[in-house]
Amino acid sequence: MTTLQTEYAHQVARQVIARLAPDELPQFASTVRVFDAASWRQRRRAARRNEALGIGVDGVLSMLTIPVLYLLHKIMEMLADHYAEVAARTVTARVAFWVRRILRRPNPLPARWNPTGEQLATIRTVALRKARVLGLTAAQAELVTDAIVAELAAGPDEPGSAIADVEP
Amino acid sequence: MSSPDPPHPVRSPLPVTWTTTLRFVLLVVAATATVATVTNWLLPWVFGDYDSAAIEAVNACQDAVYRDLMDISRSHGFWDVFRSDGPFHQRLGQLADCPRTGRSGAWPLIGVVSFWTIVIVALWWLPAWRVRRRRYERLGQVTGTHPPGADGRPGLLDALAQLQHIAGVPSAVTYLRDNLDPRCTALAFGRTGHRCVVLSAGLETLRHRDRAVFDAVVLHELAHVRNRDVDIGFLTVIAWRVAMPLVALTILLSIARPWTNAGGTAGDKLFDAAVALQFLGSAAAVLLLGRSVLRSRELLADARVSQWASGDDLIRTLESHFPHSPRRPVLLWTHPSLTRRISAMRDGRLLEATNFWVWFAVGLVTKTIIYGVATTSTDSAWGLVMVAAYAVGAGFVLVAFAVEILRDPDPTRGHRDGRRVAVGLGLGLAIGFVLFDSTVISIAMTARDAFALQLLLWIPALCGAAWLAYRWLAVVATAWAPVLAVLRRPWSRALGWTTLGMSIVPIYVGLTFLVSQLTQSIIGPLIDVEGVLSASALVVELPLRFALYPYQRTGPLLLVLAALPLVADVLQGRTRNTPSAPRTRSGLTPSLLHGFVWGLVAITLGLIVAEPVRSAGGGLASFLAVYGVVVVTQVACAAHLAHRLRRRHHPVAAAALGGLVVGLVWTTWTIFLFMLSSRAPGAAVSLPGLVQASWYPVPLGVALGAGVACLMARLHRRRAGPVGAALVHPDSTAAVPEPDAPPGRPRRPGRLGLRYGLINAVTILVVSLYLSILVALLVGPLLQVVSAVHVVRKPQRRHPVLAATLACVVTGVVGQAAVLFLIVAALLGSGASPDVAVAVNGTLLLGCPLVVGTGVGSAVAGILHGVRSDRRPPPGPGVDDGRYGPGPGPGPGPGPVPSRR
Repeated sequence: MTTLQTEYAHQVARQVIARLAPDELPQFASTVRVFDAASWRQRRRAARRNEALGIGVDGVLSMLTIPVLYLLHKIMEMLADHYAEVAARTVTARVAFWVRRILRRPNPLPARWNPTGEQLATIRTVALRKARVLGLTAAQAELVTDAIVAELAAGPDEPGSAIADVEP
Repeated sequence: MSSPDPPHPVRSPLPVTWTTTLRFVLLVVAATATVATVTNWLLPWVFGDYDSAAIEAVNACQDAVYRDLMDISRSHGFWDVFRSDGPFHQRLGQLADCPRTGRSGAWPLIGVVSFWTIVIVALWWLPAWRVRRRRYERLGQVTGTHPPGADGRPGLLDALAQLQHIAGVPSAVTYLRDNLDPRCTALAFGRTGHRCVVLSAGLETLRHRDRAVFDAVVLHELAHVRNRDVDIGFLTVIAWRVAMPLVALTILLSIARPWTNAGGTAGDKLFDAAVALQFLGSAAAVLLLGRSVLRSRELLADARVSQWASGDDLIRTLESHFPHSPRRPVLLWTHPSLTRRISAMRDGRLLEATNFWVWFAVGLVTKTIIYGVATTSTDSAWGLVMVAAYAVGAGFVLVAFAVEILRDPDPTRGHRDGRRVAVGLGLGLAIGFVLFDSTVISIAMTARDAFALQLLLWIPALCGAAWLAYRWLAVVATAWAPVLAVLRRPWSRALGWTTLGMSIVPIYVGLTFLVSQLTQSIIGPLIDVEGVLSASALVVELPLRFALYPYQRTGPLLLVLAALPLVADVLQGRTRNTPSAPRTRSGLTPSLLHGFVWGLVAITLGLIVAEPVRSAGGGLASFLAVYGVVVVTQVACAAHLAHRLRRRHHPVAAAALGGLVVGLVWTTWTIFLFMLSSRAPGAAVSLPGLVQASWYPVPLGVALGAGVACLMARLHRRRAGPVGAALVHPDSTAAVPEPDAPPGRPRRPGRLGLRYGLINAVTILVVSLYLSILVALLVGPLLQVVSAVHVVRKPQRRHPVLAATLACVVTGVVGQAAVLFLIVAALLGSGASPDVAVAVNGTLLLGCPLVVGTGVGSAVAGILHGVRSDRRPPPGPGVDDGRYGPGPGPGPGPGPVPSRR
């Protein structure tokens, strides 16, 4: 993702966490740093890892920051891909789009993005499915997805505010 | 929250290491043996040390020898098998003349050493590799058990130091954080001197919400560190992950190899498929044992936590944050179920319990050990290596038995645990000898006979042998435990343990015998010769063959079986803790003296009996008469000793030893006579053959004598009652009644009859199939009588003879239904009109034996009841001890049951 997209994702994530789990805000900045530094494979492994020698199997989620970040990054990627695919009108542009997608190079979002109701509904469906895969319960998944959609519908704040507010 | 009073106190988990130890030892042995077997197959092939032609030549030669041996044993009768100068042994000796494969025997050793080197290196590098790969964030290190709050450390590390102080972990622990894991979890890992505990980001978040859950999770991980589970657990996981690719590769290659060879025959493909199946079985055993080890460690860590903190917090943590969703079979779980974890925290005895599956694994691994050691043999040392293989296998079983018995000397646990151990071990041995041997697998695939039936018949034999071994070892352990406790000097302790170590002899002989007979009975069908031990004759022939086993094995076996408890009694009598304690009187000396005297009687009687028989023509009658005299004398001596020593410890062992001494005296006399006769010119006598010939009746007499002594001991204990029973040693070889089945418990005749009826039906089917239906018809009435006697022996019933008759009828009806089923099946198979034939034959076959059996059974029950009524003491206060008179059934008792005579 581009820096702008990342910042936007962090901003939305922070607002979601502030609404749903405010006690996680002190750790938010460090978690975001580690999350950004990790590759997709590491993020995916960490979300699905099942330690044979831990205290128990199938431990429940007790932290929302990482799933929310994961979901928002996925949503941003999906939106960027969507806009890039729509914008690619020539064969060359389409091939370039697919190459970037395979190589996981970020496709930029439009500078001003105001989601439509249809887009928000699609985002909600996708996010709900992903949240269940991440191990959230049905109620948690509904709650998180609704909060994300609400924040996306409200639009972005000033860039850079997501991390600056909680830096020590 | 206050915890409810647990039904059983939580024991300290510190001494509770046996369950994991046994499982871990099983895992190590199974992994080592599997790797040895796999590399012995794989490495010669990879490095070109494999000559197909030479191996085929060896197999062909050995096949021919085995075929000849079977022919000899069939044509000469199996008596000849035991003659050391007979054709059987001569042909057996030619096995050494077979060509050599020329393959090096070092391949398994190379494989095993490489395997464990890789495992140890991986374990050593694990902490650094894991931290780097997973990008754990270092929180800090806490060293020792210093009090919290020092050095101005941050809050989280302070809390961790406090928990480490509670846990009493002395070594330094490095705490890490997995920032990408949002769940509530933690993990302990590392090696000695480099212990680590990694906390998930989700757990750290939870610390602010629910401190008790955080503490419980961290304490659980610290318990793993303190219990050294980190080493055991990761060794288990790494061993599996190193062995798995090797085994998988070998399985694939073994399946693919016959297709890559141009000359691969169907037999080659079958054999290599069997090899693949064997490796698959070994790999499955390693996997399941590893999971079992991991589960047992979790229970122990939970027990630790419940000692350090409230167990309720841990239970709440487990319930709320680790809902176990069983997506896989129980045996594949790495963690026990929530229910079991909670039960183990509340009842410490569950931590020590070995279950059926553990003993099943002991059986499987015993076979793996034997196979693994045997594969290391070179062609020249085959016999020696096979002896060593069985000795190692027997030693393994003995150690497992001994630790299981000695870890908790509870006299009431014998029968309950014995059954579980026996069934698990017997089943494991039977399955192991089929599944973990590629030769046997290929035989099972090609056998035309009823292989499954043969194996099913072997399972109870193996289980029974395991039960006997377990019970005997329990007796020996109980006898020797006080002796070893008072031995102080190093040399005396060493001598005591060495003497006790002789108990390996029965395990070794029994294992070798059973396995050799099992293998022989399985190989028979492969080479188109009916085995000496065919399925039909197994039940009868097996004890006979054991009685006739060569003296080199049965002699030491009987001596150790009888003498070991008695020697403990002697030592116990000499090593009293206090002079005022009553001196233990051993039965060793009386049994030796009486055995010698009765031996002289046997010699005299033998001379008296042999002379007229010899003058009448000799032959088989003479042989049987002389041997019969010896056996009868042995039994008489045993009965005499059992009666005389009934109030001492181990009367059965003393009786058996007396019988053995009788046999030894007689054997010595016989050898002396033959040596005298061999001084004549031209007479050539082989001493081993002579000893063997005179040894034949001795094991039989000892076994019969011990059986009689056992019955007498039981009878004495019943007559003596609780007071008298206290005089008899509680751990004598006779059975101890179960606490939940007091003597005199009323039996339901219908149910008992049904049970006997099912036995009747199975017996009739087996006997009809393999012997004759006429013989089977006699079995029914016999079992009817047995069931009647069984019922009437419980005299609390108001109408005991009527109840016995009912049991007779049910037994007969169920049993004869099997006959009817056979007849219908035969008629339908022959194509005859079934209606008339079934009516006639069914009525005849069901009716006659049923009526006869019921009549005889009722009569026997009536007579027996009358005899018991005459012996019954008159009713009065203090007489009714619950064994006679009205039972504790519902309603008022009718008083003493009147005799029908």
